[in-house]
Amino acid sequence: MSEANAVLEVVGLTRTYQSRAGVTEALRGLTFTIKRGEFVAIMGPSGSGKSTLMNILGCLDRPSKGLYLFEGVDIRSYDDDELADIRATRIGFIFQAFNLLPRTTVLRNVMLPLSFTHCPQHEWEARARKALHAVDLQEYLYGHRSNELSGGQMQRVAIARALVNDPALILADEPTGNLDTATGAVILATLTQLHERGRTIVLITHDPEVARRADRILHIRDGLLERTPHTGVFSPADSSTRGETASGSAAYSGVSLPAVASVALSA
Amino acid sequence: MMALRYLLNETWLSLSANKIRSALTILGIVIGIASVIAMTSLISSMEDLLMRELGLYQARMVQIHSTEPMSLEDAQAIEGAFPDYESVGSLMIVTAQVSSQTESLNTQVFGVTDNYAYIQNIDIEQGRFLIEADGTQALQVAVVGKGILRDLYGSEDAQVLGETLRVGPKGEEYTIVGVIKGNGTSRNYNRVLVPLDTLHVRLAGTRTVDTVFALAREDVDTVDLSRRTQSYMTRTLEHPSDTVYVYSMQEMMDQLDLIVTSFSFMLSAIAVIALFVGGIGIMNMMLTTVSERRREIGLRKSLGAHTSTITRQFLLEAVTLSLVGGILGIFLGLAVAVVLGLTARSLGIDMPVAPEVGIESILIAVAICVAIGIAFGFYPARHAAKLDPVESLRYQ
Repeated sequence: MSEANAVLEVVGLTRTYQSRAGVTEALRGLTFTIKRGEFVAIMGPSGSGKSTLMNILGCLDRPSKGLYLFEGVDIRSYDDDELADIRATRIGFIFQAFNLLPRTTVLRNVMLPLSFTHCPQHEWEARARKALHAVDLQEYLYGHRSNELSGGQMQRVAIARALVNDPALILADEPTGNLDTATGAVILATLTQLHERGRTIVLITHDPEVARRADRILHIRDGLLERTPHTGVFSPADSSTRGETASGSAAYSGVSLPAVASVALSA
Repeated sequence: MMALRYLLNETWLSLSANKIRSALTILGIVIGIASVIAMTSLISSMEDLLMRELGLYQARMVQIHSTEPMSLEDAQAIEGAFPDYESVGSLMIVTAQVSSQTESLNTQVFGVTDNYAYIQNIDIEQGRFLIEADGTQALQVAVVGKGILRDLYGSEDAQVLGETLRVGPKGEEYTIVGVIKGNGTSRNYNRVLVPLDTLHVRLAGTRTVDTVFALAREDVDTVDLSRRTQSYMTRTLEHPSDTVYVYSMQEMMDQLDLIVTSFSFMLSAIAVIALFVGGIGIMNMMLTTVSERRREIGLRKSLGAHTSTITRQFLLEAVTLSLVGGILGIFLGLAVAVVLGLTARSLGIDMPVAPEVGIESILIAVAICVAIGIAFGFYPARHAAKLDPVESLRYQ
């Protein structure tokens, strides 16, 4: 039975891959819930399974075992076209490499997800403009090709594209990974504003500075989810602090996180 | 489902992103369609020309030749034996010197019966054709082709009615009473026609005929009639069978049809090869495009594109390429046909300059282009649609 306010729930989520080297378990029995309006960061070292998890949460991939409920519905009940419809209407993606169509204008890039829905074509431009306005992109850029923009501008266009269908969930994969610090901060501020307006955001990052913007951090290591305090943050002064892990092994280490006030969970 | 207008716009953006590659890709289609259109037009014009110049439009005509001389009585016997013939005439040919006041040449002089023009479907440009009285009185009158005017009077349009021609070794005077319409390679262009009786008396010294020509009545099976006439000539009139040749224009038309069909078939085969090569080119380009845009395909799928949407997008690009190639090919083919017509005209061949290409040919060409686009675009489109979005997004 799913939680009433949950956007997504995973129970015992497992993903295995068959290769010449044998069977690889990218995810091993993950269980967690993300509520509506939460801002959750997923952190982990390279190869920990972050991207695999992101792909499953974004309905780009299916779990090998376990349950994934998206807005209360088991995604195993959907066929490929239905999953595509969910991606088009309920999920917004933000990629590290922006993934804009380079020779296409800003406006048309943002309209692209609308072309995969039943939204009437005469509404597309208005909705795209509204989404671009929400990310504070200057209007004179709307007619520019996306390859004429700066990195920060491109990522804002990508965020607008993710918003245009008013999705239930925004998935951001290292949204500041290809940006300098200053520009990255601007993007983070944009995401934070969206969260403050009620958006549910799940974000993958290596960067603890980015992660601390979130309500909660999910630490993944070797395909396992490590339990952390609700604040999701360790005090750097307490070097002996270890979070609980699902398997009892040591918590994620190697990163010093600044001390911050506890963050209340979103309702 | 992606709106059609948006899809067409996306298609145009994709194809115009690399205009040179798109242009080279459709070259095979352009050449294939252009060659079909040009050759179809040329064959049609040539067929028309041959029909006209061989008199094949006179489908009811039957001609009787013999390597041994025939007589006027043979012609009369044939006319009497076969009521299926509406009219029967005769001709004899001699070569003689023909002179005006200033020029002279050796040419064929035809002695013909007065029904020659009717049976052979000849039009007169100036004056009149020979009449019965010209023959019965063995008058020294002549009807000439425009080539004679050009050679003896300096111009095809010379006004020569009433002028005198000297014909034959004795230089006997003939009055020109008519000029035959027709130019270039028209059969009668360089001919001088005189009454058969006059030729017999004045030039030939004999009353034999070289050819008997007859016009069958409407709705008569001329092929069967010519066979019966052949049989009559050999059995009744006792001409050796290996010296008599009787054939109808219908038989010649059938032969011409067969030749034209063979040419058309050969051209179609060449065109099919060219279009096949063109289609392979489209498939090759589309596969390259899919590979280059793999990341974009992954993006589209991640944003919600169905497999069918991706298939449709790339199929439309292939069909658009093929259709553009076809349309350009049609225009190029028409231009080539015009150039061929002008070239033929400059060589004195009386062919129409405007290409004879029906709307059906154009519609068929368009349909073929669409079919090629679908046939050769399908595999790349399905390949694109089946790409895994996760792997595709990682593609560099």
